[in-house]
Amino acid sequence: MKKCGLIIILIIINCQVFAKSDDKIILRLKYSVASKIYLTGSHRNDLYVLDVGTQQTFFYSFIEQQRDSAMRELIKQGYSGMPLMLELQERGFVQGSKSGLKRDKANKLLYDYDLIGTKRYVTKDITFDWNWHITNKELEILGYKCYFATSEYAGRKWFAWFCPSIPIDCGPWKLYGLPGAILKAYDGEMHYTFDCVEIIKPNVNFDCGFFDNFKEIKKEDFKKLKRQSLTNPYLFLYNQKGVKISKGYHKDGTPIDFSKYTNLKYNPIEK
Amino acid sequence: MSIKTLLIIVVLFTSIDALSQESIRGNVISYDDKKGIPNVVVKISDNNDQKILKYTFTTNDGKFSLSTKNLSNDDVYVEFSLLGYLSKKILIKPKYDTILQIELHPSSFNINEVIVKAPLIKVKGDTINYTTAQLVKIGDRNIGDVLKRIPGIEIETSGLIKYKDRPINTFYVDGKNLLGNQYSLATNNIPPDYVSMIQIFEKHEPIKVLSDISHNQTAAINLSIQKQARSKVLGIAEVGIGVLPFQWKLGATLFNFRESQQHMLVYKSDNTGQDIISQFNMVDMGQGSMINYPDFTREGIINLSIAAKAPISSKRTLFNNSHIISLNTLIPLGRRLEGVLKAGFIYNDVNINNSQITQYVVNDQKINIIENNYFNNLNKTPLIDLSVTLNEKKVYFQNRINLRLNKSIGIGQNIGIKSINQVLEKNFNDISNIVSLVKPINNIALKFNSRTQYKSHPENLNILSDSVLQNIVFKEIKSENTISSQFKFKKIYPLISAGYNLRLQTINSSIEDKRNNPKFFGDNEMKLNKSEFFFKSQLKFDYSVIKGIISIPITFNIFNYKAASAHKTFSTLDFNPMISLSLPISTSLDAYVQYSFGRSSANDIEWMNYDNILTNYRTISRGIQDISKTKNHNLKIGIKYSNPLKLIYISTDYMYAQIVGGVKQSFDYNIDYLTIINLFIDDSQINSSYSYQGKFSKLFFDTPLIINLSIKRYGTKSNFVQRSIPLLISTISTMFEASVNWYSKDVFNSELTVKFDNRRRVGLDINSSSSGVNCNLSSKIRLNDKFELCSLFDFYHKESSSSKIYNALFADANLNYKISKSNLELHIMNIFNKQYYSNVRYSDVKMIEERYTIRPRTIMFVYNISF
Repeated sequence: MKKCGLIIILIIINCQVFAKSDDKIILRLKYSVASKIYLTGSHRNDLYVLDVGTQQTFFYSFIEQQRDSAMRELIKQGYSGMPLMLELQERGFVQGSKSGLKRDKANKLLYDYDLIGTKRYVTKDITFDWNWHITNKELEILGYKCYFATSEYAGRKWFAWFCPSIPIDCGPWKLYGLPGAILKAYDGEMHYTFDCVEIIKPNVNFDCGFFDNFKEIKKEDFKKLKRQSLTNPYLFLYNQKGVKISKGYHKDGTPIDFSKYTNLKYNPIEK
Repeated sequence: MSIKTLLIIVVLFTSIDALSQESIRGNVISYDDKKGIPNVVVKISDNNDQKILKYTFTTNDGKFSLSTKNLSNDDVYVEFSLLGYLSKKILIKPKYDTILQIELHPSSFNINEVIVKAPLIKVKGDTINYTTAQLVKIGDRNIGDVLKRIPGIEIETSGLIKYKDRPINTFYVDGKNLLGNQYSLATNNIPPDYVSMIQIFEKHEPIKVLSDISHNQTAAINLSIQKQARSKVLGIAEVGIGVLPFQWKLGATLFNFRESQQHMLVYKSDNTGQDIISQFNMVDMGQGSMINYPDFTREGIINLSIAAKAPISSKRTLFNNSHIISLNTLIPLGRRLEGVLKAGFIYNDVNINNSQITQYVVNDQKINIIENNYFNNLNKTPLIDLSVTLNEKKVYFQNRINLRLNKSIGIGQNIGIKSINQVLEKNFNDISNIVSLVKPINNIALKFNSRTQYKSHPENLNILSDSVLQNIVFKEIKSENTISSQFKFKKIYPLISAGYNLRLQTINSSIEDKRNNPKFFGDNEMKLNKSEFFFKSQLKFDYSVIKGIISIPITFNIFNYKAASAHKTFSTLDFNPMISLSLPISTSLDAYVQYSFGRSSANDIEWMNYDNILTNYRTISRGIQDISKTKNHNLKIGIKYSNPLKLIYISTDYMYAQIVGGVKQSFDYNIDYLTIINLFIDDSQINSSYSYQGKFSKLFFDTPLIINLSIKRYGTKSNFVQRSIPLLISTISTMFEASVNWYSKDVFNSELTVKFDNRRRVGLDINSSSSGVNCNLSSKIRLNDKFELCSLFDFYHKESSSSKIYNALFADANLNYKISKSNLELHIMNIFNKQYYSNVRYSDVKMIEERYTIRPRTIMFVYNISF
């Protein structure tokens, strides 16, 4: 009974957090995102979508969402396991980032989603106020006149170009709080860059099915787990799954040298 | 006073202060339901320059408050805006406490949609994946047609593929290196329909042992084959017959790409002017490739003095009878080894018919030689290449055996001042063995490379009309051996290599002249042994703000030259340090600078002949029996911008090279028969060259348009001696090329290319120049599900400083009828039946005006099928 109760509570929590919203997407922006997750590595590129509603915004990987949709379709057709992965690869779908960010403007909440190790987690936090300094610098992005603003957050200087003629408080990732949509942003070290490449007015409702079944944890735990999983991925998997991975192979069949995947120089967007 | 009383007074004063604060407050409601609107942007901006002074957002119930305390006394605008509502703007005095009640009218908003449709490009780390189907256009016959549309990729006429201006280091088909440096066989024969994805590995190391420590910055390409194309034997076949005059083309390509094995068989036969032989070209895999191939760069000493290729599409001037067959097979040999066999045979019979006027300017006097030339060249080349490879993380091993037997017979007839009949026979026989071994020991990769090649190249030229016979036998044994160690230390990648190269060359040449003409004599019997001991240290580094390479090679050479007239031993020390720095300005933008300098010494036995060698019927050459020593400076600076997600590539660079010393060429002219070239060492001469080029390539997401622009300009300054008078000749060339590809995926594909070139020569006859424009319009239209119409217009305009103007317009048309998996095609070539194409060009010391015979108008029926 105790176990059943726990399951019901978890279901209720999940339903509250991930309920499909009737809120319409009034604007969809796509961003080319380059992120340097490891100090020693090169930038990873991805294509993200920012769905903007009157009360919420949702920021997620378009590449991963496309792959996820294709995967769901294939599962319906009976694919599973390795053949499913091979078929996805065959159809040209590569993995995007599993992370996502939802901003609930009405309740002033931020939901940070990510796949950490093999488990899906979400953390909830109260939205913070950016202290933007707006300058007179102008730049035309995708045909829109934008203004330059600077601020600081979580150990990084942030630079953003926002567009007053799109009067809505939105931006990629946790960048918001400017009197217009943010079309371009980057940190002082250029480790993380967001460039808007597409603006459309879709006539669809929010569908957050992509972020179903994420377990809610505390922000500190979320950050800690993420750091552990990215600095020592194999050790983390061992701790998380309880299975020691002693052998593994790259796609080309060569064995993975696990010793190289320890104490990696993780370069989080929030330091 | 108690603490409680004090606290009350403080709170009271604070409240009074708060109430007296200058601010704008109020709420924003909807005109429709009179309810507060949340998240409305409330913005105070300057009355004059509209600068945003302050802003806030309304709360969930539509309320807002903005302090105006620090604003000046000037009027300001307050604007209320939110997507989905009509904005409202009012002018107020900021120094008053203002309470506002704003009603916003809901409105459907207009936004300039910017739809950037990505053609399913995926970027992950250093890998860019392009879905082939998104790039295929009407009329694409092979995967090479698709590849060249990708920004940053350039396919040269030799078949060489460059990515971001550097040769790719490997061309994979489904992750396997089946074709090595003969990947043109894949780009020319694999239909795009069989390829699901084109992958570019931007920084790829083909040798797995080195993948973490070599820091290879060059790219590789992989063609991911469609699932249905795997495992089965698939193929395409083509047969074509032409009339007026009779022509044929025949071809079949069979593929079998399995997980562990790959096989590809290509057979082609053609006499329609298609250059099928270039598919066998062995391209330079660049410095990024650690895989060694045999060296087939030697072209020999004697030639038939055949006119240069016409600067128009080779299919218009090539009179050929060509056959190629190529078998490429990759099979696993046990669990870890992989064997690749490449065997092929080329039969190429080519006729060239042209007339030319060669003009030499000698001491203000112009010597014109007018000739009609007819050449026939038959080339037969069997070649075989067998390699065994073990490419694992723990060890890399490859052994390659290569055999090439090239036999060519050329017949030439030249009618000018006199009639000359000649026959040239060349046999180029090469056998080579290449061994490579890479083994990591304690995080250090030890490498051993050895290439041994034996060449036997007999050549003989028989000038039948003058009873002159030139015989040459060139032989060479070359052994190149390198041991190196490479490792990684944080962000630094040091490489130390040392080795010994040995080259043993011999030449035996003789001229027989039955008429005993004193000009025609010459016997050479020479040997040149070169021992080269080298040591090279190289440091690559890769920091986020700067990356680069510093390389310091030192070479000690011992030359031993033996000839009837001399026996010399030379020793030289060469030193050529190089530094290359790259500054990543952003993720997409890189600036780089490269500088090298040093001294080199070189010579080849081919240029050391002490007695005459008849290199062609109009040229006698005599060499030097010395080693040329040069000092050089090379500088290259450039900027590259590449954003695969936005499908754009822009690059620009400037290069400067200066060579001091070396070999100087001396020319003398005799109108009656021969041009004589001597070579001699001149330490004081300075030759220099510069070039700058810019490239822009953009494939649009939202518009069916591809734009390519390139501009190149280069110049040289070279020293010559003409009839004992020193000459400094400068050449300047400017080239501009723009192409626009406009298409609709299923209806049409149209491409317009405009090329402009201008070449100028200064110094010999003061100033000579030629300018040319070439416009090429290719259109492919799908008339309905069955019919496709293709047309091609080619216009050439050439103008020289001597006021000679040449215009030529060519046109071709194809009508294709599709029947299931096959096509029936009607080709009409050279619709206007142009007979000749004329051109004028300037080289360093001569002007050549050429007239080429064009292939006549032809009607061809072609049937092709894929299965």
